[in-house]
Amino acid sequence: MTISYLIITAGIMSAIIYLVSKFNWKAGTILQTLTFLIIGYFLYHNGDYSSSQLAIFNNISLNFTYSYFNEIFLYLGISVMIIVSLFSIDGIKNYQYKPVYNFLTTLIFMSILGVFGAADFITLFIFWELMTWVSFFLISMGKKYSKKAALLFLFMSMIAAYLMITGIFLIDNAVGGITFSNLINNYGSISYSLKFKILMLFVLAGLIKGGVYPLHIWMRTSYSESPDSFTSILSGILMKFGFYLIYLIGLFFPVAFILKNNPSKLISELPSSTFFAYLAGISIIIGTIAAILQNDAKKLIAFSSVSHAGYILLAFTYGTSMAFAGGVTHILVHALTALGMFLSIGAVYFRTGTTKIDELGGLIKNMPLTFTTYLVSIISLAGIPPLFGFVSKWMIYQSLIINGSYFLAFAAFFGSIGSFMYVFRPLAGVFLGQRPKKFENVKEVPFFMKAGMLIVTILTVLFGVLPGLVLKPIISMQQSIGIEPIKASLYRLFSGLTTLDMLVVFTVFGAGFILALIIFLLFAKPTRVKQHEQYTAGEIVPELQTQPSIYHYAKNYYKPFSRIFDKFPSMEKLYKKGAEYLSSSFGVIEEFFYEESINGYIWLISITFLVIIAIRWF
Amino acid sequence: MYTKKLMEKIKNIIRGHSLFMLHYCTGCGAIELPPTMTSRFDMERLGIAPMATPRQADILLITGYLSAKTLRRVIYTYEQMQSPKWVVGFGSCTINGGIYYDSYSTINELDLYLPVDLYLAGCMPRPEAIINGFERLIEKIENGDADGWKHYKQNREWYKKNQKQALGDSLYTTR
Amino acid sequence: MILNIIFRGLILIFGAFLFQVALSGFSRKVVARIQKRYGPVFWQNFRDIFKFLFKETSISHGFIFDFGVLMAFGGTMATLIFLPYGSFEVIPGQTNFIVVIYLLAIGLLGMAMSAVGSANPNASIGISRALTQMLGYELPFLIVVLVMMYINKTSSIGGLVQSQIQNGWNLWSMPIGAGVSFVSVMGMLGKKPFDSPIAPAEIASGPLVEYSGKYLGILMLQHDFATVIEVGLFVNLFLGGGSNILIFAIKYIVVYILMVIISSFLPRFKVEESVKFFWKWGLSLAFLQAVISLGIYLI
Repeated sequence: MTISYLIITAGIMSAIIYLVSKFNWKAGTILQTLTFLIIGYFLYHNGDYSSSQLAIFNNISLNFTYSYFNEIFLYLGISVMIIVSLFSIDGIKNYQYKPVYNFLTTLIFMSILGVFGAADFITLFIFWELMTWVSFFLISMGKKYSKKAALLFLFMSMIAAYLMITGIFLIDNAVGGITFSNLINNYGSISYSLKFKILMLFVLAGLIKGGVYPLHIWMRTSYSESPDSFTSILSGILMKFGFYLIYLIGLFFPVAFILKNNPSKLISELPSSTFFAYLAGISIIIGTIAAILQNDAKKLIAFSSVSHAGYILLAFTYGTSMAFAGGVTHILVHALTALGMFLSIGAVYFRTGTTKIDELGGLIKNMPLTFTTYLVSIISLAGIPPLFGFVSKWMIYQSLIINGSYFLAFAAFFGSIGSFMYVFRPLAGVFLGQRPKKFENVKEVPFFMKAGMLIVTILTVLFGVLPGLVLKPIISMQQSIGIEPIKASLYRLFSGLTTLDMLVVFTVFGAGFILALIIFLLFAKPTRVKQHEQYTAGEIVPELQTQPSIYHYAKNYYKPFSRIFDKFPSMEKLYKKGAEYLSSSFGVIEEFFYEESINGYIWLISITFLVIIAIRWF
Repeated sequence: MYTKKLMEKIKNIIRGHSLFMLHYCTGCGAIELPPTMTSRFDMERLGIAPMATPRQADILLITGYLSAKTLRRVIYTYEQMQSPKWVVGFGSCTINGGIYYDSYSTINELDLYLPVDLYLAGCMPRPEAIINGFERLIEKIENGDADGWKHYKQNREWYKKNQKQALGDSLYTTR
Repeated sequence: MILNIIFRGLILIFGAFLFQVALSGFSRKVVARIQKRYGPVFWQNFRDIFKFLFKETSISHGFIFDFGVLMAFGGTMATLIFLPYGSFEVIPGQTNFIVVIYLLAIGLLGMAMSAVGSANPNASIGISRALTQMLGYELPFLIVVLVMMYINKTSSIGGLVQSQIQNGWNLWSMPIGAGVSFVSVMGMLGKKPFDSPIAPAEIASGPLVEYSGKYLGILMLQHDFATVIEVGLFVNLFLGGGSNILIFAIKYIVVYILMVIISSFLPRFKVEESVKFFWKWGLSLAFLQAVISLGIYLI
């Protein structure tokens, strides 16, 4: 079974799943999960690396490959989809169009296989576009303002797509073919300025999709308004498409070839990579600060994604072997932790109907497993040992320290310490603190949702203790693309500076915890009290029993901190101001552009053609 | 049995020399505390330190007269403290109402509502008297005589009855 | 081998307990003398801790309240293991700086979780202040240490100590950085002027507001262990550790008492003031140190 067959299967199954869901949506979703599992099994069972073609016309075909360089992404995509699909068996109960949802998510699965399995740029582009359109419909199935969010998403994705297709044309023009192998073979014949252009086009497309500052503006609304289980896919996988593109283009253009000769040096051939590294640093800082100031849990995680997009971009553009491996690992880390966070917040929304932090509180008593998932995910996201997130952060830090780039290290540290602040906010506001009266009878989520979250939790802990499970395919990937691989065993990591032994860290932490437990149990047993029994400075608050939320500190949690940033401008507002200026000065065009028809789109297309022509001209 | 007794003795000695104090400043007596705590008389050398919340405190120091309004809060605060805990009545007001004994809302006898382990008589007691009183309290704790908290537990009904009589329905208890 | 490590780990934890608790008691005496008081005996802190541990009742606000305390205490004890003390290392070769910094964070996270789990708004306010302030004090410290690690080409604390034995203390080679780190460590310890998270008169001792009995005793121990780690880090990174544990202890005492003396005559910052202070002065001086050190190193 090569990938092309698996993709065809996924396409056919999407129709079948749709039909089954029409009769019984639960059966349809279970069928979807099984399909994903079976496809994943076939990919794994196949074992050997292969390429395949899918002929459309006589001499046009889609090329696929399953190789070292994309293996890990394929498995990441499949596992995320399996987990989300498992979660959806109970999780999509409240959605309006369940069969359509199942149909579209199956198509998303197909596009994931297509993008990660592509062996030429056109195939990549086709499935990329499939993903964009399907996501557009999926986002617009969400909450109140989702239509608007979907439009913004589509608009940004379209820009990315045009940039990418322009880049593909340029490649085709330069080397006479769009397959990856063709590009590798003829790499030397491309002139420097063309290389620079192509790289910029692809990286910009990737940055938009990856949500790096200042191109992140679609993320906040798309994340907060889309259906909850789809948000997990969006941040777990679809956002990673952008970084896959950067990774891919990095293989052909700067990273691989420079590293082969000069593994420990910064990429010096293209000055842009330093620029992007600094952009990544800024993205980390801005994303962190913006996340701290949010009140909606999903928006908060959206901005944390901006910050972590910065980490990944930083690792990729930094260019050392260690940073590169750290970047790939961080993609996995962020996929897993964002999945865990969005699933748990989705579970809270499923039961309570809100994601506003200051409306919730004290849900740990009702939803312990959801809380555990969230806790493990945030510990991993903040990069605290002994969980998975620490591994990738450690690798990125090591490469920053080796090269002494202290501004970038400052940004990385800022993001890391700032992440304590923002991840703690939902933990304190949603799960801990005083529980409002109306949420007293909230139940834990149903079985399949629990199962999905449990898998994420277990994987996060497992990969944290034994990072070698993930690093091994990364090492073989590095070997296959000609980078000097990092040194790592099952639970040890070696950098030029020091050794990290995750098993020792885990064991010592466990031992410390057990010792603490022994000391704790030695002394008198405590009494449990109810949540309203609080120190209130002697004041008796009679409402505390009936209305506990008045004694819950969740609004303006970081008020002192936000006071520091009162005078800072927001990028979204800046764009909006620009748009307002444009709309006031080009009123005629605005009418044309914003008419509720396809016109605006056509206008964009014509502009893009003009751009393409202009590029071809020069 | 003997070891248990010895253990109890050791615990009492430790407790006696580490007294964290919550002062409930209801009247004019609080003015005597700053000199007691600071350089002149230095309460800390006896291991006595002020604390911010009843959860962390061992001594509830009631300085001055109590009204019906404040008694409610004092009872609430006392019940939030963790045993072993001690109540110190500071000034004549806590003994017999002091100069306000005939006011309509003054609580004249604290002992009816909370188990007082030590009274510091005077209006106001000077810092010397306070230090002297605390030394007496430490002695009592070391010998295991200061057991007002046990008394409160055993005679809970009696205390509750008195408290209800004084406060009516506005009494709020933790348990 | 493993038994040996466990034995040494327990010795370390017990030794750190005796040492730091006695030193904290002694520092109370120092503060008292500065304020022209007599002060308590130096074993006063042992009495306080054991008094709380021996309390007959204590209250719990639920599972996470207990679990967070255990996580904080266990995580801090685990972090102790990863630090070299003079020539004494529990697990040889396992002194990774980034592991220490991040494992220390697990203590803070556990504490934060437990405190907020008590559902008291004072605790939440304290935690929000503590986390905000953390964004202030960690950054300058990490920048300075990063430059140090870059110059010495090692990120293990043991390696940095070794390089100082050859090249002299980092205090002399990076004086500005050492000053910045000193202030940062004071922030980590929550000494004045950086004690707004636990401001007793303002938010009723903040995170600690609902802790009673053995919980408070355990958290006092946890604070003492965290102090050992933080001041120990400073001694290791800037004062060259020590050739044996005694010299290490002497340097440690000097640094700690100096911090106590400085903090004893300072008032309290508001939390945003302290963040601004660290960003304005701490960061700019740290970057200055970075530029100077890298300049000297590259020349």
